[in-house]
Amino acid sequence: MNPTAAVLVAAREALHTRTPVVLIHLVSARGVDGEEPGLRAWYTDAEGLTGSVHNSKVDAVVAREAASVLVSGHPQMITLGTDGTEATRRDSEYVRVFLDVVVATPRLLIVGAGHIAQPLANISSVLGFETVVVDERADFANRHRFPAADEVFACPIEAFLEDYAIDDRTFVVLVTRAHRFDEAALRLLLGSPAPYIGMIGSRRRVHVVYKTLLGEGFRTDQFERVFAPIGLDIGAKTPAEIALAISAELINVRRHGRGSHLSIGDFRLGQHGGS
Amino acid sequence: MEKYFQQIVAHTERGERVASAVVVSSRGSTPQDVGARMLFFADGTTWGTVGGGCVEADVRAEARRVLADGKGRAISVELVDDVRGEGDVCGGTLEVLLESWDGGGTRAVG
Repeated sequence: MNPTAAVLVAAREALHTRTPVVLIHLVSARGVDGEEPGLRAWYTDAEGLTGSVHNSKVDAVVAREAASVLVSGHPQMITLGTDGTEATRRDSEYVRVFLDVVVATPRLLIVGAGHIAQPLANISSVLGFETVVVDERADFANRHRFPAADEVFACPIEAFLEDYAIDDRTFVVLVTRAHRFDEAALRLLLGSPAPYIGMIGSRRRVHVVYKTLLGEGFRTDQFERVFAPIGLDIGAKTPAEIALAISAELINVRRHGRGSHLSIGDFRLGQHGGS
Repeated sequence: MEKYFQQIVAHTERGERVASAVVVSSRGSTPQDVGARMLFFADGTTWGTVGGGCVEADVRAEARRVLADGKGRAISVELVDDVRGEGDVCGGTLEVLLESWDGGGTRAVG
């Protein structure tokens, strides 16, 4: 079986489990025979290295590097001599290997299928999030209202969240129709590895939810990771604008942005390296 | 899960060849991220991006050859400075790796 076909078999597995995979490509080589560029091997935490890049010494180093690429999430190029030691392109013998990490698509779980959820699902889908919507009202949570969503579930929110696997690439937005639903959802989410939990509502509504949960034994510091009220402050008014403000916050968290203007306010010719 | 794989799996399962392109290194003032990815399908449609504009035109032309001969390869793409415009090649250099994906597993290792 050729490496790309074999990797596709592994990819199908990974698709189901949201397992990250490192694809290992030979980019170029010098002084070694018959090494054409192409996909050679892949690496997962569970299986280790499958396939071979060059010889056992090179493969051992590649496997070690692949493990660290899985942790960092950043692809990496390495240049190795045929004995597995670090090399440069000035050496007479080397292989250049690209470790490409393919991680699960970030997912946005929208809890509540009302008037904010609709534009939010559209924007989130365009942004490349796998978009999932849940609401117990079947006349709200349906394909007709959410054509861009990847999955729409019409079932009770608590029951859904108890079952649903929220991983460290699942962003969650709470836009339910009443704070008791937000509260019920938040109760289940506070212990999850979600990188983002946002909750809609006025400061008052948010306080009411926090107060109730504090009374149940949750701690104040557990609310620090919750973005509530939700969204970047861009003066959003309409449902679509609010959805945009929420989306901007998602990107800001995902990409570690600063949420401020990029504008060069005080530009004067000649002072900023401009020609 | 990963839409990149989803796309490759869906197309190859229909017996189509897919060409992938990934930016493996960049030098100079390039806005492109190492790891930026694009897929090219037999019907001319694409998924993802390796940076738009001139880069994409170069990569697309190479991807067409990959779709034709099924062979992976690495190419260098010179970037045109986006202020000075065409002709001035001072925006940097990208190295792009192209790969051919075939389903089924009947093809011999190259």
